[in-house]
Amino acid sequence: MEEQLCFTTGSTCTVAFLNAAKQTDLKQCGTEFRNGSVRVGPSHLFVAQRRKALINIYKISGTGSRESVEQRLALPEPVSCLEVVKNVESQEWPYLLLASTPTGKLYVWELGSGQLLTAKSLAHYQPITKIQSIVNGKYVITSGLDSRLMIWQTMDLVTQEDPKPVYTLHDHTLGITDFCVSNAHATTHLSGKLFTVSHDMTLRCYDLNIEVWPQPHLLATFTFSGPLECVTLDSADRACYVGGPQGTHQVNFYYPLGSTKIVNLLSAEGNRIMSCVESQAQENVRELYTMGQIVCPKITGASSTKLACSMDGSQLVVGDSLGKCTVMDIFSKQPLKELHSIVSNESCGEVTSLVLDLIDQDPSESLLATGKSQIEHKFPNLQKNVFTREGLHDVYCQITADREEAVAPLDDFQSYLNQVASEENAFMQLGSVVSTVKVVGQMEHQEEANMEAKVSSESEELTTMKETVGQLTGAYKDLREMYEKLFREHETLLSNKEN
Amino acid sequence: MAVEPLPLSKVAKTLESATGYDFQVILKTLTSFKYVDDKLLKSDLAVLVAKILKLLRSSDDYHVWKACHLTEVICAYNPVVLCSQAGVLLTALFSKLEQKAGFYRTTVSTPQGKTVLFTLVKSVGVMVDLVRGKPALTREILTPRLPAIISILITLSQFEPKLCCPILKKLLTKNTTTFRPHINKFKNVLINLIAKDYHHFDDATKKLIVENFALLNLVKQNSGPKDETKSHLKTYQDEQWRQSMMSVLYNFKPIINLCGEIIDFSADRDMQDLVQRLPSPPSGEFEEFLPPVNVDLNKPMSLWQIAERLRILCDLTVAFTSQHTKYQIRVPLGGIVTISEAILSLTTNYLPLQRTLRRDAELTSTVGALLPTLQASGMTLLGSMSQLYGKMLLSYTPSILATLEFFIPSKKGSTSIDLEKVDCLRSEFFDLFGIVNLYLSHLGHSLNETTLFTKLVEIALHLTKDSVPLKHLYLQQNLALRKTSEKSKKASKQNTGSMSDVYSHPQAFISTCSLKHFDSLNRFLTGIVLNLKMPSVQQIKITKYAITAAVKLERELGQVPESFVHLLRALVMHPGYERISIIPIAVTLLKKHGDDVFDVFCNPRLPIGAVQTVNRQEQSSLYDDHEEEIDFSHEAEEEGEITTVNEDTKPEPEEIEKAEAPNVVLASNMERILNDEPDKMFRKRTIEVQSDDHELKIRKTEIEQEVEVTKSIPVEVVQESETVVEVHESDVEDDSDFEIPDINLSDDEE
Repeated sequence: MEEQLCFTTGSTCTVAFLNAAKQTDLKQCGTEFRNGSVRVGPSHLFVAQRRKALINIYKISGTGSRESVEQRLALPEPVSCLEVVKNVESQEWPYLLLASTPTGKLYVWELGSGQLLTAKSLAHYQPITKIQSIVNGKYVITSGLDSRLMIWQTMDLVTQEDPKPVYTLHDHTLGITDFCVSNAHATTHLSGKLFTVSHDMTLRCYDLNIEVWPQPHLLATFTFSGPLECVTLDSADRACYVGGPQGTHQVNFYYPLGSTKIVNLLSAEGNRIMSCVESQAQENVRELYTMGQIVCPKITGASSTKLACSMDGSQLVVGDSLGKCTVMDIFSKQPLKELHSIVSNESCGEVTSLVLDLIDQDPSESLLATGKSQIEHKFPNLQKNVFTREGLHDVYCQITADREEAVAPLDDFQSYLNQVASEENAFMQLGSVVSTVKVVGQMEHQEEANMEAKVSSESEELTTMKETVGQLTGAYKDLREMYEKLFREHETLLSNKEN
Repeated sequence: MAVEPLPLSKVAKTLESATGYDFQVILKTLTSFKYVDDKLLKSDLAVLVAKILKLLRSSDDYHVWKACHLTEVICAYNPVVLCSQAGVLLTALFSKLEQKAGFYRTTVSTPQGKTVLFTLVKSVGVMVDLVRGKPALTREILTPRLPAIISILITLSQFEPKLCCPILKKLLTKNTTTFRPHINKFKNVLINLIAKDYHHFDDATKKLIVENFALLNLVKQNSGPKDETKSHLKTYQDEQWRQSMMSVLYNFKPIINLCGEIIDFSADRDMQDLVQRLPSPPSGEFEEFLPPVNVDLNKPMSLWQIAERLRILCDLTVAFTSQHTKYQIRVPLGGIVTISEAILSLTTNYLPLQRTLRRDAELTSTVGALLPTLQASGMTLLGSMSQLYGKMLLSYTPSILATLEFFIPSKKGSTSIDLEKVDCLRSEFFDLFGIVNLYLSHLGHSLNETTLFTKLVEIALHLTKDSVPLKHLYLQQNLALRKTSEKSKKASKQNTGSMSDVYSHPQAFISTCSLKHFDSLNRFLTGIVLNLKMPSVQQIKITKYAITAAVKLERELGQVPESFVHLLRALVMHPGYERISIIPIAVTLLKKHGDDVFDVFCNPRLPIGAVQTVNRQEQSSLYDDHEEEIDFSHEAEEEGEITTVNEDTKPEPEEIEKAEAPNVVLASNMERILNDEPDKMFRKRTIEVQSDDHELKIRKTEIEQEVEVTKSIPVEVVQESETVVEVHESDVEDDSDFEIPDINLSDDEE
């Protein structure tokens, strides 16, 4: 397990690891718009190319990952932001690919077939700055420089010809540059919190829970001393980090006032406006709070353009305007690591997108690996005309293989023994009852055979008895003959004597 | 001291005589990994294997059976035996199997013979599985013997598909190339099974048969003479697969057209359109691998063949789309959806029967029973598709939901639900609930069309009631009584003589809704409540049902079943348009056993305990450069206040200790971290995620700073690290005692 970090600048794209030294640069890659790259499936990275109507596809993890472009997808026009809507577990590929153009147009492609399902022009009146799918892909959020944020139902996007957002938020007065949504949310409905930052120097927090509010409810507004460019949340919503040209600040939502009192800054008491100040040693926190000010620790002073928080919430990756990423320890506010692109040059520009993702490193990447290399699948070409929803509608897909179970004796020995015991029944005569299973057709046969056997055994007995009788009578006859013979001799002797 | 294992030579001696428990003990003994020993190979293991072989070759069925199990166990648990003897054992097993399978009729005439045959097949399967994946073994042992094994198994699969198909399926996917010469033979066997005997098997076997049929197409068959004119076109890997799948799909259209003989399609333009859009071969001809259906309108029973055939075709379609293949396949999702929509539209709700049929009572009643069965198979097709392809069907979902509504029987001439028919279709409706839930899980909360859901909720609530089969009887009796005069009394008395129970104990005939049914209904209702905002009427009905049924079942079972707990939770958290929460009722119902969700709901708490300490630490690290002493004592005091009294004295000696030798503490701390960290991490994570994170964080920085001294960290940082250690130390020393009081504090505050 490792956290993989991909960041792009205007002319480079670097894949590195948060806790390991390995680092690679992807070739021919670079995007000048924010959020122009997205992880697709477990191993691919899509990057919208700058000034070209192209998406470059790279394979960045798993077997067969390499630095060069794996596939290029041609587009109707250059796009800026990318996002995918994930599908169910049995499918490797995501369902939708969403892209926006600098004119505020929103494209929705079905990734499995390459069909263009919707092209919503003027979704925003100015460039879209970020697209994100939330709640298991049921909703999609877009934000734009027209200072609006829209929440769409994914189903509306793919079924309606001219989809309308379910909610539109327009509290900001200048363009919304970035937003983020709670990592913890319900499985089925819109819930959690939404944080938006804007050039108007505010961070706004909304409660999305539609069971409580009829529409997203503004909980709090934090004002800062400069425009804000990016925002990211602590993994468990305990704090949020905002960045801009003046540096990166931490906003703790459970704010301590003195030793025993803690204020939840995001309680639902209505839109409170709080101004964030940097820590000053002499100030009393309580006094500041009554004046509507809260102390926000500064994490780094560098001008930041993208932020990402590590899985355990202890490290913050800060992408800055010079095109490098710094891994900061949030608690001590010390830099742990700096990541440059290998071919770093001055002109690469700011960090435009930052993807931090958990990957599972395969330990058995050896030459002796038995598994044949998987055949690589090409993503189908993206269509330029809107799909008519007629015909067979072929979708490319591959069902993931079931997990293979061990053979019976290894899998569950106890049930195997059970099976053995029940099979043995067939060979054994149980209890004192002597019985054999007979098939109906065989019954008669067997009875006949039995009868025959009986008869034959009786006759055998009879013959032996007869034999013995015969022997005995024979012996008696012999004796008798002998006796009569002797008797006759005796008589003749007697008569001879008399004579 | 290691105990020496029982010598194998002794085991070998008892093999022949062992039965029953002794035999199981021997098997158990052989699983020991102590026998995995090279040294034993020449002496004891050889003796044992020789004994097993002797048993295997004997003519006594019982001995053969024992030898099979011995082989399985010893090869599974002893890689040494597997590598050295698998060849001999597999040959012996196979030759025995060949002999038994050759005289199939005589073998299976006795139960012993049957058992031996089954065991032999299973053992061969196990051995093949064990050998597979080991390159040298496969090359030397498996590959030469596999063709013979496959051909025997195919022959046997005509009689015992349940036994052979799982093994053949594995062989098809894993040893595709070896299987190639046997494809046609196996195909014939399977087609025979599908066309003739399909409905003689249980569902699992049916599934196996159709899956095997689908997997046959993994192998590319004779691609025929290559068309030179088309050679420049792109070839797909899934050509064979696709061709067979399409020929299955093409089979649907004639069958659905056949239904046009019963139902009048011409009455509805949409239906005609739908039938027109069904996938059909471009050239008009396709491979018909199944015999034609024989239907005669004069013999209404023969109509059921349509249902039979549709079921087969749907099963085949699911099999084709659900198998793992080595390459990507092109699934005609749109076509499959059209097919299932067409099947679901075969209903008399909206379409009239053909004019000529309407007078024949026998025929109309058959059709009435037949159509829902047809629809049900279309429904299962949609269900499997959603399970497999999930969101890919999203763009079709509105029309799918509309067609699912066709399944709900309505009373003639009105849109109200015919609940009597619903009672007859119980199990189908349970399927429908599951399928609707699948589709619901991908939708958002705002939908244009909700009549389907309100109808389904009504049906679900109807099905929770106990069914009374006597209702009809009573109705008839009443009618009959009213009509008939007393003259037939005598006759009726004779008939009703034994029927007294019906009138005296009617409750004995009521079949109550089983727990299993309650579970699946609750799953559906929970899904509805979670995903949609239902109108008040339905919401109240669901709530009422949940509460009353839960009370009733609690009295019966002593506890509220799990599915009701989920439903109650959902109702509390998603009250819909209702203003009043049922949380007091729900808590009362569950108070006997407690419930974690309601615990958090009624006594809300935040992960404050942890955050609090973090904030304090952060503050101290921010402000405390000059006032660390005060800060710390503050903390000690305040923590003393929070916790029990005896804690008060604790921090002080430590403080002194720390002031004296911070380095020592640091070192011991490091040591402790190195020793305890892993399990500590896990133990604590379950209790209090945050605190652990931050402790971890502290440790990490320490380590970092210790190790990376060369990184030229400014001097203040080192100071800071010291203060960090102090705070941390107090935290670490007390953490086990502090955890619970901390949480208490947070609860109080809330």
